[in-house]
Amino acid sequence: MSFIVVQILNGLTTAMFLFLIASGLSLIFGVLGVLNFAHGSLYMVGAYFVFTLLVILMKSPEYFWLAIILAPIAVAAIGGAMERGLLRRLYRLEVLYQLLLTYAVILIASDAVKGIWGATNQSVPRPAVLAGSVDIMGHAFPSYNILVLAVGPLVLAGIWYVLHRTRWGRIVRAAASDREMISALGVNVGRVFTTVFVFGALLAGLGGALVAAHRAIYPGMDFEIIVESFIVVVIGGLGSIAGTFLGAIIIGQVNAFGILWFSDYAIVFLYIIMAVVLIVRPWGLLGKPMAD
Amino acid sequence: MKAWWSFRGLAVIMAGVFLFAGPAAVNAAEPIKIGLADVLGGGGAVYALPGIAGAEMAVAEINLAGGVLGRPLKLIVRDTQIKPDVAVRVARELILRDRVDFLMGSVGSHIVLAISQVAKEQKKIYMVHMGKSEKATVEEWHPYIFRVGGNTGMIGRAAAMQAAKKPWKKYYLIGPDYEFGHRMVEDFVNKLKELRPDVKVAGEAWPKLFTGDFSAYITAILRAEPDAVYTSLWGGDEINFIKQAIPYGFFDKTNFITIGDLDVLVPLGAGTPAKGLWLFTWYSFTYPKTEAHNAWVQEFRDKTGQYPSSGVMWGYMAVKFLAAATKKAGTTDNEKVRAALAGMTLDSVIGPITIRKVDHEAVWPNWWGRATRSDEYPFAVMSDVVLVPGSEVIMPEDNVLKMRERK
Repeated sequence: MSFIVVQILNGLTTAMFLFLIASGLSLIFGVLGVLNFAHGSLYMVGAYFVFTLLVILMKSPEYFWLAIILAPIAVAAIGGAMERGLLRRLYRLEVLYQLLLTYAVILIASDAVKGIWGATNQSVPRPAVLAGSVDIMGHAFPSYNILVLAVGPLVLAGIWYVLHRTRWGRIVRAAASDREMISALGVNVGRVFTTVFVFGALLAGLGGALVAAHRAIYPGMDFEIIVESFIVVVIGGLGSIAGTFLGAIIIGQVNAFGILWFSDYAIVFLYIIMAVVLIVRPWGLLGKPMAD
Repeated sequence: MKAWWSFRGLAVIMAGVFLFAGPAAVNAAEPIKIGLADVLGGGGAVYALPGIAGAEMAVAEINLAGGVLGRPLKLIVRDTQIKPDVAVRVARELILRDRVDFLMGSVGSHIVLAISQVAKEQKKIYMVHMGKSEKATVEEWHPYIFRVGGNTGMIGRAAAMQAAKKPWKKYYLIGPDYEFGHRMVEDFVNKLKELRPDVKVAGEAWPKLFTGDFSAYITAILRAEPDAVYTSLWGGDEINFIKQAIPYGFFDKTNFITIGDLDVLVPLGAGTPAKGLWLFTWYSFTYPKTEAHNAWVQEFRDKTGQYPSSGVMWGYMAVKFLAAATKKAGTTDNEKVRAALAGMTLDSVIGPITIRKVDHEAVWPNWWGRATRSDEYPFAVMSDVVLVPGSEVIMPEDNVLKMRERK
């Protein structure tokens, strides 16, 4: 019984990582209508920033708390520059051009990262207070995972609060709903889009910053995460943050228990679920059907 | 009128080109080209790039000494992207467009098998210095494939011989779900069961290659309470597993038998578990500590600022063998070079290495040891090293022929 509890917590940890990364993707698509393939690159850069700060510059994992604040801010700035400098020029064109642009960014970022930090795997050590474990019903469970389990719901609550209880949030939701109307009402839509993109990039950077001490980081990590994030967002519903959270939880648990019970086929379950959701509710579990 | 003038101009230019370039082309010796097809990005690059560095070191060394048959060696590197269809295309381009004399490569046993087919079809020597599945030189052997650096069979059996000496009875197996992953585990388990019929396998897990999060696997393995866990995980997967397993108390509860290469030990650094970690590998720069070996290691360090990982030695010896065989054959004609390679013995800083005739596999040594934190290096090294000669663990000739017949 206690072991099942640990496995559920494992699944939730995976889910929180997925949610942090996919939430930015979902937000950007919901408001801008842009499928930001380069989201994985932003996530990767967030992880490498933490690596640079802790391993190369400070040479100590104790600056961890500083790193997970600075890295997302730096990535948010890069996201802002990307939106203003590149993406903005393509809003008037077809969606395909935006996809091509973000794909080009992935390729450039991938090579840039390889050029700056090298192609080998890197590892970031955890700060002493998070390096150990807590006792969960007789089993050791990593303290670092507890941090992630706490951050996930906090971020969900934070996003909800910003979107539903602030003026900016109201404007963003309106822009997502009807871009032309809100422009007619005098809102600078361009600025709204930039701020949303920056916020999405901040989330990607936060996801990357937290993952840095959890896994090996290397220049291929952007591609890997983007596929997983897309599955989460598709299952949960493009544009719905709550849906992204739900999708992440489903995938996290399917992963955890699939491995336990059907280890040979665990990988397949994910794609089966995605296929089922797409057939039954093509707009995702909590998404809205596309207005005609 | 216009056409007449331009014909004149063209003739003048052509004459000039031949006058100046002609003698130059005749004087400069045409290089012997080695086409190296390997993955330059993503997870596999951690092995491929050291392999290229080792090959380049050998090429520079040989060229400094005058080249082979008076001609310099030249390495032409192309990206396989670790995709079989890309690898096949790249191999064909190297042979047909770049006209390389020999092929070298490639991370990913599935990639090796794919390129091997091209080598067979084009009758071009493919000196494998990376992908290690035994299948390439046993079931899928053909006269143009050669390998240095050892294979899954040898290392699996060598590791089994050491594990059999320990009191471990209950094993759990985990490896990436592809050719290499499965083969490595199979070869270990078969030999182990032969030496210790009392051994039981409590379970197995096959995560996909380049899995990020192993938490669910770690919990499942600990639940089975094995005495030892044998794994063919490598690179980023290995780092992730070890890093994530430590706070679950993994290394206090069981023993982890895994590949001990620098690409994992260096990033883990001081974070390597202090106990419960057993390493096996196809090359370690820390052993044997002979003068010649240390000098070679230092030469690499002076050149690149890094310690040589296994890939470096494999790439280095691959080029050395190709050069020596070409010299012995007196020509780059692949039919004569492959005849020279089969059965050839070369001296190296890790001892004399022979390429067998039956399967063109180099009889390569196998390292085993316990992972220990070191004062000398900022990363863990092997201690209590056992060096198993390849001759003790390489598949016996009759087995090789029997397995080929069965195909």
